[in-house]
Amino acid sequence: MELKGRKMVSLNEFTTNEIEEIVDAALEISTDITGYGKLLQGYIMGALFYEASTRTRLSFESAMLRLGGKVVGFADASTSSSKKGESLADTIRVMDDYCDIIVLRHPKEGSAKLAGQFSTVPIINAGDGGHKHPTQTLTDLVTLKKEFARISNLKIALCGDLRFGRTVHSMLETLSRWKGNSFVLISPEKLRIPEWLRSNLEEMDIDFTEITDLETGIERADVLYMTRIQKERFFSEKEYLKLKNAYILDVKRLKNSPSEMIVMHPLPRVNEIDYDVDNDDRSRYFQQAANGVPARMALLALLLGRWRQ
Amino acid sequence: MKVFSRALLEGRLVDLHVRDSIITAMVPSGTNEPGSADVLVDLNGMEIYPLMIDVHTHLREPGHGYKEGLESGLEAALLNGISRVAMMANTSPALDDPNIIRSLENRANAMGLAEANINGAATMGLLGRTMAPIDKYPDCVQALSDDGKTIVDERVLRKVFEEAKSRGMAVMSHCENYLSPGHMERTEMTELLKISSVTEEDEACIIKRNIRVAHEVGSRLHICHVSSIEGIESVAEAKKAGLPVTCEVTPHHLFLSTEDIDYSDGYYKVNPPLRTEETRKYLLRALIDGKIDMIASDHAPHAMNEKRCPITEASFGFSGFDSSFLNIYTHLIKPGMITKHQYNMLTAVNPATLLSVPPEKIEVGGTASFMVVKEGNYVLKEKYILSKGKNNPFIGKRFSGRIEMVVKNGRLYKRRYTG
Repeated sequence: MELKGRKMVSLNEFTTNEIEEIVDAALEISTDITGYGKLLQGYIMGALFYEASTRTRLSFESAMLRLGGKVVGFADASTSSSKKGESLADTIRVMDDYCDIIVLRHPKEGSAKLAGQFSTVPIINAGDGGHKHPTQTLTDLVTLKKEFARISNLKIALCGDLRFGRTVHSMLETLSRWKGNSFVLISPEKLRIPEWLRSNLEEMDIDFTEITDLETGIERADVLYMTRIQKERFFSEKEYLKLKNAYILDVKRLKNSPSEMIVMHPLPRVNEIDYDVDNDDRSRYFQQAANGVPARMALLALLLGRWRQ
Repeated sequence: MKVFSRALLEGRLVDLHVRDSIITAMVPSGTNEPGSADVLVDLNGMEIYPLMIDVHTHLREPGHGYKEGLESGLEAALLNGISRVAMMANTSPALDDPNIIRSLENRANAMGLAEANINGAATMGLLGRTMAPIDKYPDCVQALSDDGKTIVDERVLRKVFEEAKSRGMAVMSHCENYLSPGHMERTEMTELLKISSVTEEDEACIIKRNIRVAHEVGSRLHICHVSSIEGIESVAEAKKAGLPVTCEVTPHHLFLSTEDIDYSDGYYKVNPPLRTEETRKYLLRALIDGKIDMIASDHAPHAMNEKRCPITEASFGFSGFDSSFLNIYTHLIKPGMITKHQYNMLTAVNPATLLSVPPEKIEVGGTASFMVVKEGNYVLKEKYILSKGKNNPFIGKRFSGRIEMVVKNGRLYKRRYTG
């Protein structure tokens, strides 16, 4: 199916070929990020942010401006008509006529899907509550392909709170769709992946191992994807104190990992990656964040049918 | 004649004489020669209890037979001591069509398992816009409900109340703030995980509105699965003012709270959500104090992959038939929190009044219907769950006894706990 005119509520609605088409466009754009300033001239992007998410919003806005388009919208719900009680459906119907593509961030799960039913222009889900955040995953895929020239046959270590971490779940589900990827899941016993995800992986015959030790886990990895372990509620204070240092990445723990491995993190970090790691050749989290702009530029251009027309 | 000998009933050993499904005599054990019995069932001192009537169940037909089904649901109900269920209308299509309701009723009755009432849809498709053809509903519909959906438009609600009133029906109302749906009760965890959540206030505000409208119309209102402190108090206040308002509570709101939730998947997702420990205790107190009229399971069976999945994608509800009596027996009757009389009122007499059906009682001249309970340590295992829905949060919990047999209309059904 053509990407033009499509909505992106989650990556599941796109084939791996379609996703790679977006990723490849992003990689091409990233080599000449200022060279596409006329692509979306005359187009307007509506950025409807019902909750604040500065990084996501600015990267979308930056992407649209770099493509020569313009942006209208609001940065949090208090400045929109939803404060007067207007329903999301009505706002979408109206915005539909004001812009050519809508980027929606909303605290309620399912909002993007609902909005999609009322819009005639493409809608991009920029996060709906604890549900989906497809452009974040897309950005990670761009990073992977940039580094390895492939999204398949990678050995990916994921570390942190794997039980509740939404980003990790999306990464696992998405990367499982490409051939030959295997996973090392590093977490304390109590924060291992939930049963439903485990049975999904088993059903798809995905190669994965679960271990508790960070250093062992990254001995042969191509990628280490770090996430945070939140203190609140997951452990007793005692357990937390015992475990809190075990899942912090520092230069010492990186010593035995392959020199060509890369370290990723969705940011913001708190203390799970030591600042010294920033100077290690393997760190890629800032580049990863930077890839958010070309990833979103590619998505905007493709959904508007302006890429390679 | 059939004789059930040595049954323990309210502290006395009795023999029940049964002829043509009626209890003809109840005599102290050992006083009569049971020799004249054609069939003799020795209950060996096990306690017997009246069967229960469950006013709030989802048997998933038509449309969702993979979750449950008329036969699996009615059989599970019966073998768990429930003589009659009232089925909710949120099926596919919704039960707003008198013909579909009639055929469902006929099929249910032909099975000879638990009896079935149907809580017909109040509005077409449960959409809250136009009233369903309530005047054409068959007699098995004695209560109306758009369960799971709150009727938003007060004019529609008023119309439904008026129609219900003129036909002597009750309106069973699931109260939820339709403007702010959520997956779970708001806790530190839902905030951390950024999952949409609800509060007790979201329930209480609709309970209050519905009581007000019912009062204005003068119709009979039943609040489903009350789960908020303010909601209970609103119902209690309305009763004090003499209004015909009743309410039910579910075993899971009485015996589980937010403290029991594992947030890694949707298993504990239910609507209304499990509340805080403080509210749970309040509900229990209110039940004991007589502020709550009945216990209903809100039996909501689902396939496992609809529960073991991310919270935001999971279906609401617990399978409840297999743990209803166990919970009541273990946590309310055994510790003396409620009397056996209260048990009968909460699980059969008041529900019967709501549905305008005969109550369940163990008495001479009444039908021979009761369950036989064996005292002792019992762990509810998944393999013992008779419902097709294995999403019962009480699996693995310890109980003080189990149902050995169910007798309905003189007919004996034995439970098997093998394997």
